[in-house]
Amino acid sequence: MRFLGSFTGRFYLGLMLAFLYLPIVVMIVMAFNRSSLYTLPIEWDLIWFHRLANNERLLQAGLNSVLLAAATMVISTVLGTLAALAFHRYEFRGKAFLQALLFPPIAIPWLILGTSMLIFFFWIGIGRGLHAMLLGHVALSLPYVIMVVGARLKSFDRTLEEAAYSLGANPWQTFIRVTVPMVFPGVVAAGLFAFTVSFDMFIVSYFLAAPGVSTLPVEIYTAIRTGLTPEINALSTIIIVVSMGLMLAVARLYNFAGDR
Amino acid sequence: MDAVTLEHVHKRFGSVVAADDVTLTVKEGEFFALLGPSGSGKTTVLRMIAGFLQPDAGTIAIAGRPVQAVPPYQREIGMVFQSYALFPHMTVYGNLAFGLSVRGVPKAEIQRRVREMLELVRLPGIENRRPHELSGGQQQRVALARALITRPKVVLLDEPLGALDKRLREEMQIELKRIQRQVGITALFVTHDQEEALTLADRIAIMNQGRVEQVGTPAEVYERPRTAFVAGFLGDANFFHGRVTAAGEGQGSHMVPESGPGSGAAPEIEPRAHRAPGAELGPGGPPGPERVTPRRLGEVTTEYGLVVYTAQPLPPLGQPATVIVRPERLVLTPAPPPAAGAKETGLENGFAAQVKQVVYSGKSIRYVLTAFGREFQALEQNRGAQPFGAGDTVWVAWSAAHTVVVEA
Repeated sequence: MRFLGSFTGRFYLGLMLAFLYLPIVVMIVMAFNRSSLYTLPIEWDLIWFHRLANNERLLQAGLNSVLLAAATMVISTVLGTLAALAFHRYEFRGKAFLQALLFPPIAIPWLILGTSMLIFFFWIGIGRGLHAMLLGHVALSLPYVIMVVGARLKSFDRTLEEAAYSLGANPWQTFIRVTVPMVFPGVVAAGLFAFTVSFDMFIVSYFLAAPGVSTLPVEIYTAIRTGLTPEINALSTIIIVVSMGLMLAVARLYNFAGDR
Repeated sequence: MDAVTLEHVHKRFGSVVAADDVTLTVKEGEFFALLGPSGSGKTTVLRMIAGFLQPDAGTIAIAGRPVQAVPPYQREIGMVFQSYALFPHMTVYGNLAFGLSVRGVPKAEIQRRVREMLELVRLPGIENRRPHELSGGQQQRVALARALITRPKVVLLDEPLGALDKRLREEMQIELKRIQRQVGITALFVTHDQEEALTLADRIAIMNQGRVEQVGTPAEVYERPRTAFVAGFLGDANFFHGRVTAAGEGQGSHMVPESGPGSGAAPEIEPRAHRAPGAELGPGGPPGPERVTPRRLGEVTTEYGLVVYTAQPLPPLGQPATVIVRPERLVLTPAPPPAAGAKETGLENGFAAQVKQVVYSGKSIRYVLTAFGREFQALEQNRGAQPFGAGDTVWVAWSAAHTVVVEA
């Protein structure tokens, strides 16, 4: 910590924080600026938020995004947690191979995955639309969930379960009263991860979106091509505030679960 | 009734034999220790009793009931883990209440018993703390209270004091014994610390490489080790290798050396007046399990030609044997006793040695001696006399009563 005390250390820290957060701060400030051409000095106004409230397309896309992300989160978290438990608990043939299969969806460029999903979904008749996007998002967020929950399980002390058995708790009571509370923070983190992966997903959504049904990233992309309006800034500001709040809540939850 | 019985229990992990024909009986109310080095299979045995492992062969019974088909949660055991394994997401109250609430005990009774238990372990009023807010010793007590609160048939303790520092460990030993006595519960604990086993246990089973080498009270296993391993593991020991050349009394053997079959005169004060002014020395070293009057003794001729006499049981005549003598049973004098003295002092055995090293540790003095081209250990109480110095020639003597002989 002596390094941080020195002038160079503080300067470096300041630079890093500016690098990370300045663009976001500028965007938030601009959301409250009356000028649509980003001119200074700033004239504080809520006009873009009012406009946003009347922009049906953008709001519908936002709603789609939230619903899609929520559905992805629920499905991926349930399936991924079960898979992680199986990997953690049982030895079976082909386990190492299956675990290795988790990595390609992360390593293969999403552009390629998006293309192949589009082709495949057409080929088997699923087609495009929110349902196709949901399938794609679940497939892509599942590896993250399995890895995050798996990491939590790895640090989980199995003797706690043995202690529960020795105290007379049957497997179900042990699972509900010991395993689940201990693993819960990892599951919440994984769920959040899945939500974010889906909410941020542009490429796969872009390929799988049916005409007229799009998500926020796709809609923003389209909007930028036709001309960037500060409405996007206003929307982004709302998203940032909500996601930061969520993150803080999760951090608190983690602490409450007795995570050291 | 016996609290725990194991009969011919076997367990192997791949090519490693963790339990090899283990047969044990723990009596009700007993404080029983499974002692052994790491990898000796003692924890495997404990985990099989708990039901976390299944034996490959053999039977285990708890309170007379065979438990092969009984899962751990129906075995009515209590367990204290080395890591304590307290539930970190629960308070102390939650931890203690757990075993009762899964059994559906009414809330009022749970509250009463938790309070009672915390009083027993001398930690009243900490119900609302979380495990990570407690010290190591407190966690240990909570773990013990949690294991006892369900009133199990037997409480299993896996290296219960292993994670504590020395001072706290000694304190907890006394505490553990008090609680065990007070509750009257059968306790089976695993340890690699021979001193802990000797201090705490009513009986000890010494394990080595999956086998039970010996079972007995602390005095039995310490004074009468049945194998060289037991002797070496339960403290320091001097070993001689040799062959049984004469059987003991009643088998037509040699007499006590340098003396006739005299009367069993009361042993005299040791000839060590030069070292202990006003010596109130008891006869021939610390009291042994039995005092032998001169009579026909067994003989082992060691590899150095030295004949060692013993009053303890012997392997059959002509068999290879190992002689075991504890360092504190050796008596050092400046010169061999007069020819007739050996009988009077009760020190039938002896040889000349040189002091190589003197280790002074306050209450006792440890000597490293050389003779026959090798080293021996001797331990003497510090009674205030001038100790021998390095380079001194001494006469090392000990009683036939303290000479343990095992099959080599």
